[in-house]
Amino acid sequence: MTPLGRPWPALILASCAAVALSTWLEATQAVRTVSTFWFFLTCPGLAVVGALGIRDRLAEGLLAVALSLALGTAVAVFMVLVRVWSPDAGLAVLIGFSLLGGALQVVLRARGSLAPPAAPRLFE
Amino acid sequence: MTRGGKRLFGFVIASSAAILMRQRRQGRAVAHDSPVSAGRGRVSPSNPGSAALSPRAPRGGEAPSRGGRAAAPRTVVLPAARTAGPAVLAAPAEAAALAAAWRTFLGPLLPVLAAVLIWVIGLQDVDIDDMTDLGLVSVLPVSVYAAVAILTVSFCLGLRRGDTHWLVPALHVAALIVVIHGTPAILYDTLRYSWAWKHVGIVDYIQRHGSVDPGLSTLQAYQSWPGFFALNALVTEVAGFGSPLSFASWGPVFFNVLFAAGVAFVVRSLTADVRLVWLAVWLFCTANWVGQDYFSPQAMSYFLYLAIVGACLRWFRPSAVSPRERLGRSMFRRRAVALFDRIVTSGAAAPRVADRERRWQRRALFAIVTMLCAAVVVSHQLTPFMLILGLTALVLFQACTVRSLPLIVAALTAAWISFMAIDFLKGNLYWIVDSIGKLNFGSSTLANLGEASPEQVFVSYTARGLTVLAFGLGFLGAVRRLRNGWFDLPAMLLMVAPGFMLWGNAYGGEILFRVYLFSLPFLAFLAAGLLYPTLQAGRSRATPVLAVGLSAVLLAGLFVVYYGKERMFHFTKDEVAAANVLYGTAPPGSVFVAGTQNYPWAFRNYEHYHYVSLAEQPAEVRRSVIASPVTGIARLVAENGGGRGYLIVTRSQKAEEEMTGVLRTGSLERVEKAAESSPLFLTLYRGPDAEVFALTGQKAPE
Repeated sequence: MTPLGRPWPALILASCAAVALSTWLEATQAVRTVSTFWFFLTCPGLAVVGALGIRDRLAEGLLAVALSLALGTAVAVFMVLVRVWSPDAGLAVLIGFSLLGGALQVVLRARGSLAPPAAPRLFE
Repeated sequence: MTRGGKRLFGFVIASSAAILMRQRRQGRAVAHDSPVSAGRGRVSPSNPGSAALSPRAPRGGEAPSRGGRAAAPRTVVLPAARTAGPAVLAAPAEAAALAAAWRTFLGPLLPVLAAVLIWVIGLQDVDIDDMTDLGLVSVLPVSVYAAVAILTVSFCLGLRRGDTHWLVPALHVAALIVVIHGTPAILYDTLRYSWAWKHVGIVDYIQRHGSVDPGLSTLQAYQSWPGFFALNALVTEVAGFGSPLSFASWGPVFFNVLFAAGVAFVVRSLTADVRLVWLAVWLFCTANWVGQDYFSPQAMSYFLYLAIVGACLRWFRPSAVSPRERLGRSMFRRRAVALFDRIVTSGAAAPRVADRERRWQRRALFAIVTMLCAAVVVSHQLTPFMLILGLTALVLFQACTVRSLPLIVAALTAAWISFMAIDFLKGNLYWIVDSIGKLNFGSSTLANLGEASPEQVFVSYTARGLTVLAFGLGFLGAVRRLRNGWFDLPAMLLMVAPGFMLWGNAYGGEILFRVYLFSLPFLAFLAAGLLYPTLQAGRSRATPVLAVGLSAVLLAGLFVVYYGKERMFHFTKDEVAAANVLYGTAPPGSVFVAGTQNYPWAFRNYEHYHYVSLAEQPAEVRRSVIASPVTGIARLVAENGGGRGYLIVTRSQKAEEEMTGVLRTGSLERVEKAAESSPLFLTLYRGPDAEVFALTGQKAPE
């Protein structure tokens, strides 16, 4: 599957919906745990990295996880330093960021700006 | 088999076949574009690796030159394409796909399933109460070692086959991580490592206060670098947990999976040889005995470090145009630059298999890398310096084109220290300055060997041996790769660069271990190069045997060293219950006296209390307290704030006393007995593994 065909926007949308619903509707602990960890580990980073058209799945996935951790850290540290600690607000910011990135990917695809660069995929 | 089982089996077979068919289609597509399949290379089903060419290999599969800048076909034939022989192609597509699925995916996964099954069954018989000073090794059943042996043999044989799906080695590595790092999480009922409990305490602080206080004297470094803790406080709240204790036990498994992926990413940027990548990942997992993988800021920062370095090697490598070509074509200048070019940049620019990205993509990648650096800077005090050293080495030797990156990390670090960590710096500047320029080779855990138990001496020497072995293998691998025309300069730089921290900071006696940890990915890569120096090498029957032997030695050392202190690192439910009684009873301002700080502490309302450890007192104070415990403890309480005094003595403290010699053996037993018999102490909790006493009516004796 080429980057053009990867379902990142749909995945981001579904993950955002899952974490929002499970958190704010107080779903069972198991559902809430899975959706929260999945979201914090993938979505904010994937929203950015998915727009780059990286063909190597390992590189794309690893960068998405690393950036997700970094963005989550940035939001949390900002709330701590400014003393506006609010987990709900922090989650909302990250969900908004992820949705924005997902939307950007859709726009880039529509414009054809996400054409995949030619490169071998050694891990596929 | 039930109907559901049959459906599941059918689904697995069909899915595997679909994956393999897709892989084969892609493989053929790549093979058609490849210079190898176009007639310049030979495809031999009996010798599957023969068609794979290195990006630097010259045409016809000749050995690359020492300089290594031959025409670089950047395509590697996928394994599945190589295995498609005429007989297979003639068969119906579905049957061939099923056969291929079995041969390259399902079949090689059977040993993984068997190993995991054996491991799970074996864990039923473990009684951790029987553990000796050798750690978990002393109680693990043979089946656990059998599981690891099966994984090792299967993994090494799979590397030689060369036609397996990439998920096969990945799942071998994942299974190894689960077996090694999941075992303590399953066997123990509680979070291991006293440091992890402190980290839970900082998360608890942020959850309660919504901020941090770098001015606090207790655990000040954590308050000054709160990135990891703030993130975990956010995740804990969103996930609906009361505290990270609900998930922190699985930190080692989680972080080791991330580390393995990070190492694969880094090594993948250094070589196109998939066998080398996976063997490096495997060796990294088998030699990572340092134990910095628990619920901690250093674990997250280390993963981010790997991501940053991997991204720099992947997307910010110099182009294939050499400095010789850039600087001009006159004979004199070419000769003048040739030596430098040969020494410095021959390994820096070559095996680049990166995506050919556009300018906006490179800018976006640079922004991402900068963001990762910022996350490291706010999360951990040591990793930014390791990052600066590594990036500076890459920039100086032209292995990274983003020359500003080390400066950016340095500026971010300086800004953060002056903004958030100035209080910490004021309190610790004396020892930081004192250790600059000295060779800080001593170690907090290698010290006092004369006082340690014989088993711990063995563990300590095994750790040293493992470290020396890893560096030796890395050195030999680098030499062998060099003799085969591969000058792995970036790997060598990143292996050596952390070593400069030995002259920069003692880091509480831990710097030696941290240097090893940051060098390890590159040591593993170079050590793997000992067995697979080129794409053409390593196809003899001896190679997997050597790989198995090497892994066996490293794993034996890992089991001894990584599990070597488990008797003191794990805490029973009784010890945790005692700690909960302590924190649930003591009013703010109380003073907690303990034999050592090796118990579950500081995990609840930690800032309300003062902490005193007998082991950290000057020798004369220790002696006087042990000689007359009641008056000695009353004096310690009075000298440390004078609030209500509490004494906690646990099994894990006694284990540390006996294992490391930090206190004379029997000291804590004596203190405990004295408290039990003294009317000045009220027993708040008494269990098989812990006792908590409250000092009543205390007045510090003169």
